[in-house]
Amino acid sequence: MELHIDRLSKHYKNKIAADRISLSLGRGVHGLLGANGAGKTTLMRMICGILRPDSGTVTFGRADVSTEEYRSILGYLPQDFGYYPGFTAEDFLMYMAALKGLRKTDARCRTEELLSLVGLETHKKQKIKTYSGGMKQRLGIAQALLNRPKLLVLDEPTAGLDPKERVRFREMIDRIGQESIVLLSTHIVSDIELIADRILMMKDGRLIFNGTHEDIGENLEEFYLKQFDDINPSAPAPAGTVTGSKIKHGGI
Amino acid sequence: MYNLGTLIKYEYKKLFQRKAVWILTFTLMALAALSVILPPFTSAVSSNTGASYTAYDSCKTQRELASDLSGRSIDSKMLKEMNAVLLLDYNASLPAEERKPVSGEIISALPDDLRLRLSGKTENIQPEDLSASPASAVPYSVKYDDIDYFVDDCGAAYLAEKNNSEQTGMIYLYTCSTDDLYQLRRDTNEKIWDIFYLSDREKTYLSKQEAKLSTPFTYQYCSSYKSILSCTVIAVVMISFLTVVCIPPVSADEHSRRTDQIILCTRLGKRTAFFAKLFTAVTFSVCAVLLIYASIALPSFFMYGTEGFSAQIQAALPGCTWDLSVGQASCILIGICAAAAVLLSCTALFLAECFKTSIPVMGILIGFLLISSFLNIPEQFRILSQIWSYCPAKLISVSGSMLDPRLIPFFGTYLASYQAGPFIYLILALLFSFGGFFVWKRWQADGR
Repeated sequence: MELHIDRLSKHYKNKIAADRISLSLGRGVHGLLGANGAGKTTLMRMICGILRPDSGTVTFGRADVSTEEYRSILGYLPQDFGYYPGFTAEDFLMYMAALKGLRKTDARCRTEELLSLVGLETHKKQKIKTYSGGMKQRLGIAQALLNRPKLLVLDEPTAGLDPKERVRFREMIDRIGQESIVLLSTHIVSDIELIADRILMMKDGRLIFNGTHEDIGENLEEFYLKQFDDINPSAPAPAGTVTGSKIKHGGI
Repeated sequence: MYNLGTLIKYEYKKLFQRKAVWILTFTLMALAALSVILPPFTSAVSSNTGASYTAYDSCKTQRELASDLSGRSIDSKMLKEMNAVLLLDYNASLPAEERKPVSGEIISALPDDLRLRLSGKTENIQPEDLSASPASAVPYSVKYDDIDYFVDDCGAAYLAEKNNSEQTGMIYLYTCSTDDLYQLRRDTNEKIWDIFYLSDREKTYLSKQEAKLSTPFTYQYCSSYKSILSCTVIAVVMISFLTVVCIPPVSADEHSRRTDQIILCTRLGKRTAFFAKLFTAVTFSVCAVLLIYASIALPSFFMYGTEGFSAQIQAALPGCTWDLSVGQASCILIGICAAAAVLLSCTALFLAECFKTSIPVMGILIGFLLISSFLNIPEQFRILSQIWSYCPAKLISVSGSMLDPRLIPFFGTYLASYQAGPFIYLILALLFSFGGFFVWKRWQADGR
């Protein structure tokens, strides 16, 4: 069970959003770090099949990103997406479950289960327009998990969650990561530090680091900030640093 | 394609959660019903004798009296009977000193009930003697209104002469034989064929169709169906408006709400989700057609009665060449309207996918509806003019689908506009559906 990304590129008019990114992601939680505009969301959208790359491929096993088979193993929480304000949480999840191909009885069980998991079971009959930002975010997480995805892509999933919810979310992702591939992007380094098995860093559309905590060997936040300072070319790069299109040690 | 039913249920839920859909549907249904109910009550009719009554009184009386005429041929005997009543009516409207004694020939031509009521009176017949009933202001002659319209419609030359006479205060009556009346109708139709630049083969085909019609035509009271047919133009505008306002958000709202990205990366998000939207759009617009027509038909049946479904259409529309009944013509128009609604909903969905928002779609479709209602292409540009005549606003009317003689060649035979129209609409709807599906599944999340 591996996600293969091969020389994935995406150019906008005057910007390279993804520059020949090649990756193989196995089971576990993969944290994607990068400044605003680094290309994290573009990469995630290409992985989810809602943005066509200029070149390169994304495959899960034998399934190409454009196939129904691929979409059936995918769970996606976008950074910024909308809801149907007149729907209740239960309606919304049942609708998403139908889209994900779940049978009605399975959908009902899974909806109950996930509403309880994200702490919304007491609000399930409430219309989404009455929800707070955090509640909407938890509902978004629930919809991404409906089909028990083997590949879970979460773009800024902790935005809007309070500290208690964040802890609960981290525990949930940790459990899911034991069976699935989880790719999550965030600005919050501590989230990644605590749950990610592997850390990916992007800068200007390039993957500049792909390694583990051991490869970093120091405080992640300091390391992260260092990547965005001017790097001294004579200084030795840590294992996992991607130079050109190659990784120095460990990594992919 | 499983879960399609569930997805359709949720698409309908999304659609009906918009207040505009409810408000517009009920408002247009009410307006459709009022367009049938109000005019007869608000329009006053004056008889030759100066009596004034509403159009509804006239229709009600006509319905009661015309039952005698149902099943009778529209021939010289009926014309003679009508002329006798009209002449009496005219005579009674004159000042007493100008009234002429009524001849025995006229009296003998009168319908039995009226002759009995006059009981041999030939002089100084008062307007009251010729009312539908002693307490009614409506004249007995309304019984022949449909026959009078029929004769009027049969001949343009006759009508011009009649109008000239009426301007000078004279009564002009058509007194020819049955054959002459139907020849007059035939001549008028052939003149229309020339106006539309029909080819000789088309004329031959239409002549064969004419030959199939059994003459003289049989009269049957069918005011409710005539009311339905005449309200078709209003129905088209309402259905178009309802479709154009309610359908584009089915797809465009996913983009404006940004739910598109989670839908399109789900297993059934590309194909089944689109078909659910398409099915919702199409069924909603077809239901809109049925609701609007129900709002027109129910008051029509209530006011004018349900009789007359099998009435020969030529008795109501003398220019029509097709062997149909009035009821069949009404059903055909509803069917064409449903096909047009399917086309409109597929077009709306396609455009909403292209623009990702509803407003330009509403602008384009309502603009097209208005332009196609008002703009006419002269008949001398045969092909262009015929293509333009298939615009829903043109075709879905009595004149567009039942009276337009232009034909479309079809495997060695010809199709009339009312036969070809629905096929053209459904083929175009299919093309727009494919276009919409193509744009939907290729949607890209860039630029966000």
